Amino acid sequence: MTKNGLVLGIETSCDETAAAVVQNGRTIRSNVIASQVDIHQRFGGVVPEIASRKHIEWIMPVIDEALVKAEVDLGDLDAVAATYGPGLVGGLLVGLAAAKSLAFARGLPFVGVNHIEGHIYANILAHAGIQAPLVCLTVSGGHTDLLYMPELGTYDIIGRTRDDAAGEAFDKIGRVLGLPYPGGPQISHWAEQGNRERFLLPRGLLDADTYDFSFSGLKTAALNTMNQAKQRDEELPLADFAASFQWAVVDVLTQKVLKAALVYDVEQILLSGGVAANTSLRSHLTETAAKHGVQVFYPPFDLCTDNAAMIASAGYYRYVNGQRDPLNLNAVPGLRLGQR
Amino acid sequence: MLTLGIDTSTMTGGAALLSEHGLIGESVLNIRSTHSERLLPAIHRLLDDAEVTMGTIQGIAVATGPGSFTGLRIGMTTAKSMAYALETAVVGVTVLEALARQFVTSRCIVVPMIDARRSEVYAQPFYGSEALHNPWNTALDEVLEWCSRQSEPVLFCGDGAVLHQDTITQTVQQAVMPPREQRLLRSSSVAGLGRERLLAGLTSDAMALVPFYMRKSEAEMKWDAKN
Repeated sequence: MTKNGLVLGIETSCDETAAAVVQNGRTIRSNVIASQVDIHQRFGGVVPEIASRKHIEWIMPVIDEALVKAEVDLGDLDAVAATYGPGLVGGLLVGLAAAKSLAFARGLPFVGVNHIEGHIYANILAHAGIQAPLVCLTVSGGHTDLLYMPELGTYDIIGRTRDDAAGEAFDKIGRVLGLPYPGGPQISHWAEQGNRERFLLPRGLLDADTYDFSFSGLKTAALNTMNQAKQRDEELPLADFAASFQWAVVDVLTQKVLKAALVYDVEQILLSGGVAANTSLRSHLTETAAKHGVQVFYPPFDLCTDNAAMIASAGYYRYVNGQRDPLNLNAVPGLRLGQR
Repeated sequence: MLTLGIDTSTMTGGAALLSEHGLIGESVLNIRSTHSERLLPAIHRLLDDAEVTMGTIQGIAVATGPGSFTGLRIGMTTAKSMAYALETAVVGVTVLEALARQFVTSRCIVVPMIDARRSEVYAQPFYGSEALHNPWNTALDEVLEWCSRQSEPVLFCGDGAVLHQDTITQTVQQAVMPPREQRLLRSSSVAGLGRERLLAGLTSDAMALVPFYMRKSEAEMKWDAKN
């Protein structure tokens, strides 16, 4: 079905201009990233217009380097894939226009990839043993989705947050506690020394017959606990509070994911997204799942940040499953999983 | 030299195909849908209708700006990527030069004018194919003041000449206004000017070509003002 199994991936959704060639969805032939971090530093955050200007400056040299390093000519490719959302629209449009134009000029199929889905495939690139069917928890400051993947390149959303994303709750509580942004890693750091049983915080929708999540009740309860301590003029034991809060999130995520794995009868669970970096979630889920003979995978640090190899991998599996996108595909800045 | 011209600088935009015999075809739309959605389908249809394959294109000309930053990047990324994929020459022409070309025989001073928002315009005066001044990014009033001082008739074109038609004709006595639809940029002008440049051996580097923004990003302007 495929020529060489080679896919060129392009990623420009934020402040990294990236291109990569991946073979058969698993083997990284090249992975080029030009980071703009230094350029945006003086502005205290990514400036969309400046990011877009850098993307168009760097896009062709980055693509060329990816092809040269992979020792691949455009004509050897099976398809070209690019992120079309979510992200900053100006940047997305540069990568998308490049991918569509390269594909059109050389008569190659073009595949649009959801950036969040791309991050799932960092697992596939890193771990040779991953085989569908599987269950995947993808969770960050912007989303919390539980997916069932009957085969690679496709998924069903079986659960998602009904209010806040898990990472959002972490960041909010971190901010109120006066911890530096982003709050997730800070809370995780404080939690290491804390007693997670000290405060009993609610687990949203845990007993309900759904795979959906809810973190707004937890957020409110945590804020109330903080306020009550303040009113009583008591100092909140930060380590215990952080540990209790983190445990409430990790507990509910773990129980739901494990339930899905057992009901859908899969042997493997994938973690992805920013919150997948949480060591407590990683270790607790891994230990709990192991008791049921289920393996847990999460991406290595070097593939956790934005890169185009994951887009090429996701694009490969989408391509193999028959997805082809039209020349009029537009960037979708607020693209969610499950949305086309 | 079979040349593809691309323009996505304003809401008007599209593509044109030119050979040594002149115009083969042109697709111009002036609608709200984004260039991201309409440029490649337009090129695809144009090539199909003209029975031309992508591989026979020998040169690509692209409007570099000024205009909508986002729009410019879509057309230019498309031109750069196609030039890279086909290993063909690419050349940039400014929107102002390409617009002036449409009235090159008018015996007027031609002032292409592109809306820059915030009551500003991008503009540049030409006589024939000769630029009389560097491109301006300034208040409309200042451009019109310059125009009023000229003794020759001054012809206005570009989307700025559509948007500010009343102000222009009230301020500049000797203003010449072509019919409304004629004031907008044609991709064939981009292709025509670009083709001449390519034949003269003037090419741009597909790797390095960037839009002619004429304006810094807002964040940089604010930063400059503060520091």
